[in-house]
Amino acid sequence: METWAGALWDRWVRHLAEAHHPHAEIRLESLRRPLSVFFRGVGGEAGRRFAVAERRIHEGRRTWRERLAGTGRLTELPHLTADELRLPAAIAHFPKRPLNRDLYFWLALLAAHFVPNGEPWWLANQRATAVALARYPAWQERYDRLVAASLALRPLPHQLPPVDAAVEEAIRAALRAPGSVRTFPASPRPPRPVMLWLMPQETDAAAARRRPPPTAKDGASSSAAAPIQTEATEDPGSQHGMLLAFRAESLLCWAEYVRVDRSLEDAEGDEAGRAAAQLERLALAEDSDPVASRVRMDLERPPAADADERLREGILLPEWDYRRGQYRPDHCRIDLPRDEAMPAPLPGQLRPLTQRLRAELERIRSERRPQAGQPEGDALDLDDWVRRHAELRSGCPVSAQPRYIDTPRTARDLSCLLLADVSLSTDAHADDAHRVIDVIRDALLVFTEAIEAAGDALAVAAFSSLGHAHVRYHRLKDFGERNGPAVRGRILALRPGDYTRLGAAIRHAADRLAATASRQKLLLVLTDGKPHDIDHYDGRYGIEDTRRALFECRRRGIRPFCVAIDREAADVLPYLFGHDGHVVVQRLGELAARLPRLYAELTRP
Amino acid sequence: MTLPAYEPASDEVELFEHAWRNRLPVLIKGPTGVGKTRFVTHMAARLGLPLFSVACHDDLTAADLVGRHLVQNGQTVWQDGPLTRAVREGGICYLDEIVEARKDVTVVIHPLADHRRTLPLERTGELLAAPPEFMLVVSYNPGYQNFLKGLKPSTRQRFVALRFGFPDEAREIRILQRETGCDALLARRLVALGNAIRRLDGVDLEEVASTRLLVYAALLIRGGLPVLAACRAALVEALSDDAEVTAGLEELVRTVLGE
Repeated sequence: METWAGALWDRWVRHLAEAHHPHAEIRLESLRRPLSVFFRGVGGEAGRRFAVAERRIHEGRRTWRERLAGTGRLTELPHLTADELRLPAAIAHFPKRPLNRDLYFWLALLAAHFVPNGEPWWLANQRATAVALARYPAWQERYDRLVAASLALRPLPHQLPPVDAAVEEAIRAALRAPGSVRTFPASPRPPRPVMLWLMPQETDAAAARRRPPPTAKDGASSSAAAPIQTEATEDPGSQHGMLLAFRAESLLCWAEYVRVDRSLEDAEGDEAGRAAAQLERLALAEDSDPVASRVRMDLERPPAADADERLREGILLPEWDYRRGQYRPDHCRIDLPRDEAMPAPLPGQLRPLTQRLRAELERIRSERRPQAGQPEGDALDLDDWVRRHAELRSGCPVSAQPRYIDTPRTARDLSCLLLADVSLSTDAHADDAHRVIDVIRDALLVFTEAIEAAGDALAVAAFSSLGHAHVRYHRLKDFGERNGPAVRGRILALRPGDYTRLGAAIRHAADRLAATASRQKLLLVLTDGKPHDIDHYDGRYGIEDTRRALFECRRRGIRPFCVAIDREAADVLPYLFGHDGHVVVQRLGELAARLPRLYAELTRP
Repeated sequence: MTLPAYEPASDEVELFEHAWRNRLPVLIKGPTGVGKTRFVTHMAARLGLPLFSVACHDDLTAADLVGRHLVQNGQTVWQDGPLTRAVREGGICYLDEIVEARKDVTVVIHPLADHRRTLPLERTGELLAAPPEFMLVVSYNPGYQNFLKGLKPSTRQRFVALRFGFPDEAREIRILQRETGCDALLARRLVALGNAIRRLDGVDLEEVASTRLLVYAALLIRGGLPVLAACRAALVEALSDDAEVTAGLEELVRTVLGE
């Protein structure tokens, strides 16, 4: 009974505290593409991605209701990073949907005009607002509506202590007349977040607190432990919710929160990893002590000293550095592992699908186009007949043979290379029974069988990487190699690797494709995510390098096309592969059937 | 005869006149709807020459350009095609989107496009020499990423080439005002919208808003249609079928033109 009453109270008080209108909620997911179209249209950088802002603790003043409910400390603050615009996953501040939707578009508009030039955040936001509104005066009305609605959710200055009141007054003035506030009152604590503004990148002090110091056993291990899904939480010990008067209630939470100080208890062995694997949920909280985390270190490893070193031997490839606007010569090395696997037959469950697809692709092989003026054929060439008739009358010399319209088989002259991403992320489960890698293996097997029926030259390869010096390019089937048990064995032996250095893999695949004599060359890239590798090959850098590699392909007459199996990646794909150069497969189970059909469409004469 | 209006971007009018005087063929390349055809029409009227326009398509053969025998009342009659007529009458033959035509078309235009300036009519046994007034003009849109279609270097190298891009802001505003009679404010905002949409080239859109589409939008608005509805019909829906892209485009329209 107590629990029930407590839950009820909790719900009510939270409802009271949060300006939250679930019925009017707009989710970022539903607006991702329109927002990025809009953002680019109003002048935002084309390479910038949209991401969900992480929840952060803000130390600003909370309303009495929020304090009562113990909420309001965690918010998703919209902000810009070096290559992303991070927005809240959902916005439900206002009771009307259009207003919540407008807030997303306003933040995108603001971000497109935001120049991070070292100004304090309250000045930079005012400037960007003023520039955006001057450039698009039609937005003024919508902006005013947003300001009015958001001010209604802010505390009134006269209800605040004098220090906070001065800050609040300044923010209100800056929102109403952007550019008017030139000085900002000092305050011991940050103000309540302004939902119409982009929040500053975290200060150095805050960043230092959030990150383990670089001395924290940097070289500990970069073993390919699977990144564990974690979530940020706050330390309940620091949260003084008013309802915890009865301590026994906290017993209910016991399973959810076990305080373990990882900075002290992380042993060198893999016990922590084993413990983590046994947990249902794993939460990372911050306190003021430095935290060492093996998972984090792998993701945030500082650039190795040799990152710029030029490699000496092996298959070397350049990489594009967009910041410098030039190539880093010989920056990547391609390894060509070829572990001979046990030859294998086609798995039984794939046979019916394979047979069906083979029959379909046989048809494109024999697709015909009518050709006039042939010495033999199915129909008389009437055009030719009239001409002949006319020439006969006018006394011109006429050749004896009538001409026909024939539909001969047109010779296809096409090479295709299928490049599959087998980075560690493919180890994830696609559904209850299958991992992504299983789906990819099946798709490769079926594809190889089906394309053989179309009679085109095909090579199949898979890639993963671990830093610039180790880009592994698995040759599963070379051009000219017969499809058979050996190829199938290699495909079946594929295991998930590490990361996705897409640019280098594409460059090497393009080299192989360019060496074929075919007139048409198609590079099919099958991936489950974005370019990503340990040595700073992520975000904008990886995207720009991949884009450059694709640009090189097109210049060499190779047509790249991407088949993506992750919706998350969908917003960078148009930037990389172009509007008509990619497709996102929504249901993974369909991949095996979809790939050959897609191929048929792409190469239809 | 009134001259079809044309707003020059730079020196293309003089270049075209020089090419015509020196009997050189001209290749115009540029995206769709930026005034390639209008320019040629304008130049033909300016030089006082008849214009023979052919929109090329993938079933267009050499015979369609040169001519063919027809049977009429038991007689056979030779019918000149547009290219032959242009050569005989001394006019401009304009082949729009030349890359769309069949390959045998290039065979008939090659001898016309170099110093020979002749058109052999194989079927009548004639060899036509082009008079000084004759001019061959072809256009194509290099933006289409078609694997199989492109202008062969041997064809391209016979022409004096002009590149047409989207007009700059001031020029496009003048074009919109002259073509539609709309006021300066609307013209300025439509051009701003056009330029916003053009930033999406190649990333979100296959083809971006042409001057022609902006003219359509201005005409609809001048005709009394609400701004948003006019832009939706003339621009947004014309440019993309993808509902998510059109949602983004509509926001752009609202941002630039208001409610």
